[in-house]
Amino acid sequence: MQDDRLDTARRIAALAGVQLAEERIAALALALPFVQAGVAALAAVDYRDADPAAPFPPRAKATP
Amino acid sequence: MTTTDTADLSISEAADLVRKRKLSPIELTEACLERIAALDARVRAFITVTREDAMAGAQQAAAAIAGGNYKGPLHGIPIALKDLFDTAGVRTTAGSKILRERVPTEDAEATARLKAAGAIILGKLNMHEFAFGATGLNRHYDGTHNPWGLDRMSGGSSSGSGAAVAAGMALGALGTDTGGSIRIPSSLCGVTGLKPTYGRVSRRGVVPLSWSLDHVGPIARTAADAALILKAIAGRDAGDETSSEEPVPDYAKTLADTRLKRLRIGVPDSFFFDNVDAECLEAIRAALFLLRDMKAQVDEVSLPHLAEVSAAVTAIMLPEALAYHRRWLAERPDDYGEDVRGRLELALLYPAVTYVEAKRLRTLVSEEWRASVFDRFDLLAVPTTPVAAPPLDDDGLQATLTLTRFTGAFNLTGLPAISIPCGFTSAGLPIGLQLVGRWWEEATVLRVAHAYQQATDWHKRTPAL
Repeated sequence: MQDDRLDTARRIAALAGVQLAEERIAALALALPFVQAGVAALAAVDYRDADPAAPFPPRAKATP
Repeated sequence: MTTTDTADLSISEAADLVRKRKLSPIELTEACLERIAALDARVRAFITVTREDAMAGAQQAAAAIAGGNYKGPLHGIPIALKDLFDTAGVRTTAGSKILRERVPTEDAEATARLKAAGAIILGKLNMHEFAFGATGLNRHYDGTHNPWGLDRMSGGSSSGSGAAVAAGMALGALGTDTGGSIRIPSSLCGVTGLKPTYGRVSRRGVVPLSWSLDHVGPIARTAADAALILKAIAGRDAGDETSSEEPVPDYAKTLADTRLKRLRIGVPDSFFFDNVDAECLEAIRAALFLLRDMKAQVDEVSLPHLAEVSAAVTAIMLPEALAYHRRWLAERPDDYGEDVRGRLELALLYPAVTYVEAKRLRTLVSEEWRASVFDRFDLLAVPTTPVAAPPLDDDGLQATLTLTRFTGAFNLTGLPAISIPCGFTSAGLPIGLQLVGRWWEEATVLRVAHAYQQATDWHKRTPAL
């Protein structure tokens, strides 16, 4: 499992064009579960028709 | 009035004296520069002090006012800028080694608007490197020390902005806020800091951290002062496509009504009151009781999707920051502080689909909060931070996670949010109350904060330095 994580971290860094020393790859591999938790949390949401580029709501007409 | 007293004036107080020609901008600017000279070796609020430019500006302001050309409440008022705002001819480092020698040729839009309003720019303020952290620790320029306890963090990333205003080195400051970076140092340093609605203030000429989450706003001693600064810098800028056409009210006028009757304040029933320091919790509860005594209606509210909000903030902020920094990260990794470098490397791990889902969550949360929260409530009230200022030698990574816990949700949703002092711990450290309004309704946020400050004196206290 640890080898998988190291390999994942190494491949992703290389894809982005960032060369990392092995100790930094190892630190990234340790952080993978943190990222995976966030990825899983966001993957579980029902987004319905939410548009990622929608603007924020305009000012309400009636204010206190 | 001694120079010490002068530097402790609020902007509103100083402006009144300047307008009546009972106080010269020269005297006021000298008082701040003296305070900087006396204290900043210990506080480290400034990266660059522009003494000569400030005095020249003060002399020009004094001459203009004497000639009957008074521009308004910021004319002749000494203000300082987080070193993320471009200043023509004055280096803008972003708190980094990488940009240490960078000298912009143009002012940021917010800088230009402050100057047009007659403000005197005292210099450039210390900050967390590239605004990418909440502690204010910075290996390149020495971390900012909290004026309320020099062995404590000032909070960040607008660390110098919070500390300079708290210590009377400037009457006001500009900061930026991507995950809490105006409100956190305001809370930890006992001052008032407003993150306006996303798009309310132009970010042109401000070194970005995360385009989707970055906000520009004021830090000052009072909500009334924050209102004056916001009025000067807010509004559409054709050079920043995210800046809004929404009309900018005269915030100072809206402060006059301090009645809170019929105002509905929502207090979240979960998350924001979990794992909060007992003294902070007590101060927040006391503030809520006071607001209720002032006739506001205070009730519990449930906020949908809170469980996913922090993940979404991270999933947007990290990839966007990496997009800005990728070339430097590849070519000059050793020029970053270890914490910032580590966050940028962590960003490599985020899949593109997660980034898009986080942006979709932003839309979903905004729509649901508008429909099910802000239909019943005018404001939310929560702690700004779960703890007061941590010791400087605490773990910085853990401190950033802790300090940003209650602020990032309002960057994701773009809602206007202010931090105001609401008490002190037994160790004498400030505690911040966060008030959050509807989109574009900074006027309500400022009005309630001002009303609270009319009924309390937490914001009037100054650190013994």
